[in-house]
Amino acid sequence: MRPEQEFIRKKLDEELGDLHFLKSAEVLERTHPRSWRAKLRAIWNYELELPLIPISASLAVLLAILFVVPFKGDVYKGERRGDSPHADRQLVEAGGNTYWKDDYEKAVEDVEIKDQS
Amino acid sequence: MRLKIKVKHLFAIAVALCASVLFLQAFVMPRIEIAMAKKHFEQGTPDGKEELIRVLDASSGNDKWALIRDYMIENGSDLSLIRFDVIAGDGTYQSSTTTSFPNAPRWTGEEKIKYLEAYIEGGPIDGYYVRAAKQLAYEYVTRSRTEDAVRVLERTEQKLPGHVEDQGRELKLARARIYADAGQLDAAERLLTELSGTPQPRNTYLNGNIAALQARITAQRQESASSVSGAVTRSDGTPMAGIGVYLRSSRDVYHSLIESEPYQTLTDSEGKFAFKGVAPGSYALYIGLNFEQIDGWTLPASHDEEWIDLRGGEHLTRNMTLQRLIQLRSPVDQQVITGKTVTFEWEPVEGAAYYTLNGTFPIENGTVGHTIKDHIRSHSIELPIETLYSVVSGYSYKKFGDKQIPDPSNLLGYADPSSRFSWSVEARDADGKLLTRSDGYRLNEQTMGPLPFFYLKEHTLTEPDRLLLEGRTDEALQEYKANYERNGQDSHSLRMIVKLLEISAFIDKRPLDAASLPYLVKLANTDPTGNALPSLISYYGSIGEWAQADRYYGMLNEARQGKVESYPQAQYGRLLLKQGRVREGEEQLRQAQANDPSNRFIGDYIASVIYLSAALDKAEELALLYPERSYYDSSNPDWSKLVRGLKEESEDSNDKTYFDALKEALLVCFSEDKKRIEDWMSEAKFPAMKAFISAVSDVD
Repeated sequence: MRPEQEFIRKKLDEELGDLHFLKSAEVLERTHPRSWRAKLRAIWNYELELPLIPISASLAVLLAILFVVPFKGDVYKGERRGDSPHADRQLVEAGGNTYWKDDYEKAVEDVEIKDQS
Repeated sequence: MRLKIKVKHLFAIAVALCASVLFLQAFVMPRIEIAMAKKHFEQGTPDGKEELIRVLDASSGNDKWALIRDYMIENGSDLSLIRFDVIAGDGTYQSSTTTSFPNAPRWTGEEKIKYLEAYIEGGPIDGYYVRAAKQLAYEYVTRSRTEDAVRVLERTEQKLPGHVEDQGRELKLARARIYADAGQLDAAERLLTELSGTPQPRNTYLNGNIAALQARITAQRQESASSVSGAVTRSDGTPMAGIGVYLRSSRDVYHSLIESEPYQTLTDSEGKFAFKGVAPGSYALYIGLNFEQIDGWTLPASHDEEWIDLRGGEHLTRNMTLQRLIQLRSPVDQQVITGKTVTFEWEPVEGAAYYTLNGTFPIENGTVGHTIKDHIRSHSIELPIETLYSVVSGYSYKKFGDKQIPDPSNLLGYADPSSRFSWSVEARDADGKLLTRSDGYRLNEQTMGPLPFFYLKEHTLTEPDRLLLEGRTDEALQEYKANYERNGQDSHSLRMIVKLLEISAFIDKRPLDAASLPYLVKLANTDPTGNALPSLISYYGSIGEWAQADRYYGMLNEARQGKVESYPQAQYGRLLLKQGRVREGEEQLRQAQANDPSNRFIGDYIASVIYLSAALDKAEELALLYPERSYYDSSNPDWSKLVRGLKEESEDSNDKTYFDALKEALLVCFSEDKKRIEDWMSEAKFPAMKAFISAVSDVD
């Protein structure tokens, strides 16, 4: 040890003489965990580095699937029936018969299209 | 881009996600499921009902009650028995205007019983609770489970809080009605006594219903009470359970069915119904159905043809069979016809002796109907287009400027090439009883069939036709006359001249004038349908040229092949009476009476019978057999009572002089001479005779 080093060391010892480092064991426990508790804590606090884009994309897909599946049947049925809600369906009397107004209008339209072609 | 995250934070996020998924599953998804099920049910998607049942079974508490309330109780039939989509009877069909979810599937009785029982067990006690009880009782009644029905109503009544007394009273009345229907009159009367013990001056509606039921029970107890029973089935024999059946008085049929009408019931599981204790009177049977039940079917009843006349102590059976609608074949789907004939063809009906072909002209908000041809023996007929042009039809009024005039299109009838016409057929058996018809409810793809419309474009509009369509009636008439002058073969102009002359006479309320006569004579002699003859007969009748009236009646009889409609026949009968040819007149009136189910000519007929034979017993029997019905609030004469009056009066006085006086009075009455009748009336000595003569003089 060179004399300057010796001097600095002494100075440090003097200045830090009042401070006592007591948690060395704990620090060691953290950096090199031995007990299962310590190991668990290490995993608990382990910092992951995740690629943001692929993760958010796959999450979005998952959410989309989750929400669409229950409604899929509905979309399918709606398409097959091809009609709108009929809560306000009306009757119409035409040519002595009573029809649902929308059915009747469609039938007349069909007949007229057929006539034109 | 990379994200730095600690495992514990990642874990926290995962936990939060799971929690929200669980939350969704537990609280949000069921809501969505309920909403979807509701939507599917309302739209009538194929498994909408199963879906709603699944949701119903899975839910509990208020959700469950709300579902039962909105989708079962709200649209269900209460015990009031009139909540059906269609009320059919006497040839009329009345559709209810309010159906919240017309496409929603129907609940079966079993389903309703299951959920309504649950509702009664645990549902909230409010207005719907009372309705649920009534509907459950209704389901029990249709299954002949009278005791269960009464029990549920009674328990509901006990559960109701004190301040809804009216609802409690309604339930008690419903219970009394069920007892009365089941013939347990003592039990019914006990309840009615309880009800009248605490009168409620506010609720006149309920009080009215209580009084009506009380009156019915009193009638039911009388020995003279009649009963009407029967069954409602489809033509293939399937019984129709839970159908509303209403025995409606002729005084009630002019308005729509109301709850206070006394004879209302439901068919049981075999389609059977019974009304006990029916008061004497004229009745028509009506039924209440849902749209799917009437769709493609018809109740074959013609207006005025199915009257039930009860005089007391009778026990009648009347079955009602729904028949499939006839399918039309041609012309349909707006076919355009340009030829000189039209061939109408339809599906044959088993057991049909003949068919009646009817048509309609379009008007602004509907159609006007008419008969094109009656007594057609085959299921198709080729008609010359002239037959269609000669059709006699009513007309609507149309506004031209500030004037209302008869719709020119209706006047042109089948000669208006822009009009869309429709047609229908009725099938009748050899006795003239309606078997089925082609017009009715066609509410789905299978039952809709082809559209019954066609166009006739054989006739091109002439100049006067155009004037007529523009509302320039007087100019049109002049032009038609000019056309006819130029061409004596112009049958279209001739027809239009006669139509316009008749209408102007009708509007001015005067008989046809002599200047119109040549046109009418010409038309009557050239038109093979005979449709112009009735006006000519009444014209000659009105001026007393009997020989001409006879001649044209003979022509009408020929054109109709011996089957003259009852109205012109009765009118001719009266013309004969007027001439003093009472025996011939009686024969015509007898035939007209036989063909007219409304019995409106019975007074004239009875008068002619009395004149000829003085047989008051026979006259009374006829009057009882064919009562003239009272419609609306008008009271038509009770002929049996009037004849009874004559009988009593004749017994009190010298027979010979009484009948001489009666015969003389009848001759005065037949003359239709107002002055002579008034003079006779002022000097009449016998009050019953005076009443009878007065009634006969008023016969239409």
